[in-house]
Amino acid sequence: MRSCPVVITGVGAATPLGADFETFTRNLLAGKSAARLVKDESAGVEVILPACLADDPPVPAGWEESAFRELARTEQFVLWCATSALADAGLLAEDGSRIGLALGAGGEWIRRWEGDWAAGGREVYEGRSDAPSLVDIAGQRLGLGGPRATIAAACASGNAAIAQARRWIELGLCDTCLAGGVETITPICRSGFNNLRALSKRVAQPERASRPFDQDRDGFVMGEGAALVVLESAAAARRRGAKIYAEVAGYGASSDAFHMIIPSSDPAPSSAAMRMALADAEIEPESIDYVNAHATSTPVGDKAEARALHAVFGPHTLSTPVSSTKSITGHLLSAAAAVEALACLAAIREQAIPPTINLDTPDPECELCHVPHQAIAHPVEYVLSNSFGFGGSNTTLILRKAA
Amino acid sequence: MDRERLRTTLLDVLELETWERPDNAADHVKIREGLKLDSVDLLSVMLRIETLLGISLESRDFDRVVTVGDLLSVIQAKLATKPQSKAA
Amino acid sequence: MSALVSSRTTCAALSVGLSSWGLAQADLAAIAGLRKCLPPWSAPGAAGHFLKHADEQTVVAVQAIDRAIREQQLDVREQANWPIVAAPRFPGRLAGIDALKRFTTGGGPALSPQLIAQHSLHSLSGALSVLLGSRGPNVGIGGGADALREGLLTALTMARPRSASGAWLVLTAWNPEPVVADDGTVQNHPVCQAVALALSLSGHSTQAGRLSLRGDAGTPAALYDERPLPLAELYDQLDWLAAGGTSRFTWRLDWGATIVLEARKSAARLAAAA
Repeated sequence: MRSCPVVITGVGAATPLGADFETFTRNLLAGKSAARLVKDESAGVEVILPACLADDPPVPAGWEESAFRELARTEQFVLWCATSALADAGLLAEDGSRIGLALGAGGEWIRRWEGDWAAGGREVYEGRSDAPSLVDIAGQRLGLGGPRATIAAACASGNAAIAQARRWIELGLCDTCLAGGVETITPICRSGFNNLRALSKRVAQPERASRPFDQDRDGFVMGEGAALVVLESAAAARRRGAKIYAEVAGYGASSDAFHMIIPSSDPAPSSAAMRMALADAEIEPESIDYVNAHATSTPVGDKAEARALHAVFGPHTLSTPVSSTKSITGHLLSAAAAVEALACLAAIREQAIPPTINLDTPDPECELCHVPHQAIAHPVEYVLSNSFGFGGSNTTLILRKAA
Repeated sequence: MDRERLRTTLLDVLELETWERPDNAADHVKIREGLKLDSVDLLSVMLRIETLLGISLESRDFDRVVTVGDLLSVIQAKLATKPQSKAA
Repeated sequence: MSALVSSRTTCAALSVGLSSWGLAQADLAAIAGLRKCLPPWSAPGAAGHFLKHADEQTVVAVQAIDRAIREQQLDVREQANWPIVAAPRFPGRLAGIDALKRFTTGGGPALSPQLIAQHSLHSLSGALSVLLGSRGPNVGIGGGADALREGLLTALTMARPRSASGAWLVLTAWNPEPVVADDGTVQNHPVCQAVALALSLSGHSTQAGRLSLRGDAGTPAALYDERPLPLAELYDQLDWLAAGGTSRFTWRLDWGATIVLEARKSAARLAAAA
């Protein structure tokens, strides 16, 4: 039993499925794809790709709309999610509380420079060293009096941020901590991934393009948005009668140490992350009721994860439901793990497992207990969420339904 | 472009990309094991070839490329169908 | 760990030893040459061109790690599960300028496929993980003006494998930031600097110093660093440290804590770089 269990008491979302947890949950369990075609044009060259874009977030309390819309989109996502998560937790007007912020974000500065350049600025050329970062902007605007850091593990950033937030609370550095991730996909970002041949080219039917584990998958569909959760100690949450979404029961992380982009075909490192998380949660694999897979719809990555799941779950693999919600939301890169944590919370609250949509013909090399096309009602106490990233990062988060 | 000239071009591009010029780039040599290229290296090599020769290569074009010979054949086929115009 | 009272809850004082540290710096011309220099401890699977497309801060970070390893003759084989925390400041800016130019003149297809993998905040830690062959977690931290403090904080507080005897913390930045003209030429004379700290998690080794965090209960906010010690000054002061000498650096955090780095230079001379 952990000496300081940490729980989630608030949620903020700005996702392709909606800008609040209720709408997100409803669309997720309905298996409603958010993908549509996005067209970029530069130098007379068009690039057309499926993508899952998020609407501009609502204006948070305390902001004039015109002033809020002048902010960079990334800032809007973070401020909306932070404000709404704190409000959801009943902490927005709390005084004297040290609130930290661990934000998963891998391309903050490149996005910022691209946005500034597109608006006629020269920040990227001049090297302005005093520009505040997203965590500083959010910290100042919301009066967050706790530790802050931007954390990047590529597509695993959100899990790493949640784990860091839990650690800060356990160490007594703060009472409460916001944690999650943010991603905005820009034209350069889309083309950068496209040039890696990593993206799906299924432009005729964008809503059918993201198809993790399907034998006809041809790459991932990019998504954008943000998700932040509020973490605090279980004892503090119970003392103030807070609503508890779930406990952060376990975390594990490792690296492939293989390649900057290609995942290792050796399941050992990713299996190690899962085993560490299970050990941290003090449970065996068969206690897991649902696995939210990282699976992005790439030919190589989905197979590698399936191998690792078999290595960890052994005889329980084919009886442990697995789905990849990236089939519905797209792959939100630095925000993916955080949005998938929301999917796990949805599963816990609704006692239902979201589907992998577009899973028409499962790849025989990905033989798992799939949940194709439609959500299913299922008891959910423990959820395991994998997120793996460029640079070889493997992270696993385990959430547990509050007692 | 004849096959041997194409092979020399490929070797030049490999040297630019990997700082090494393979001793042996015969048709039977395997791309991964023989030339020590991973899929991202191969992608970078292909992008240079595209720019140099003014052709466009899709992922499906080199899905079945295993050897140097396979690669040269794919490039030659693309060159054969390329409209006759100035190279990019 | 001792407990210090700070605000409502207790902020634990944290401390780890340093088993070694190393410095490296290089200008753009030198960096071009260093791209071909993989250190002898590089993992066997790392190709000779591994650093060809790497961000400049990654290239220099590798050299700083090499210095730290050689300074105390660390055994890389003992680092197989070491976490790696890398905190670059404004990584990827030069690559970003190149990308904007290519996008403008050639459209999306003209962008390098290496852009995202090599020039994002996670890229430096990921590259070190591959080169060192370390399967511990790797994270990029900061990326902005406060990367150094965020990196120090994260290295001290991150969850780590129980069996890991150590961890790497690498701090990098340009000094000064490159100023680039519209045609892409660099107008000033920037030098990329890196400081690599080998943290000792087993607690046994403090031969190269110590890194600590302590709570500052009751300290007025006005005393917190408006201008925290930047990497350039940390680098210079470490570089000037006499053999056998110790230097102490502090960074105050605006939420009620102070980070202290005590760095000790070994008495033995470091052999000249090969």
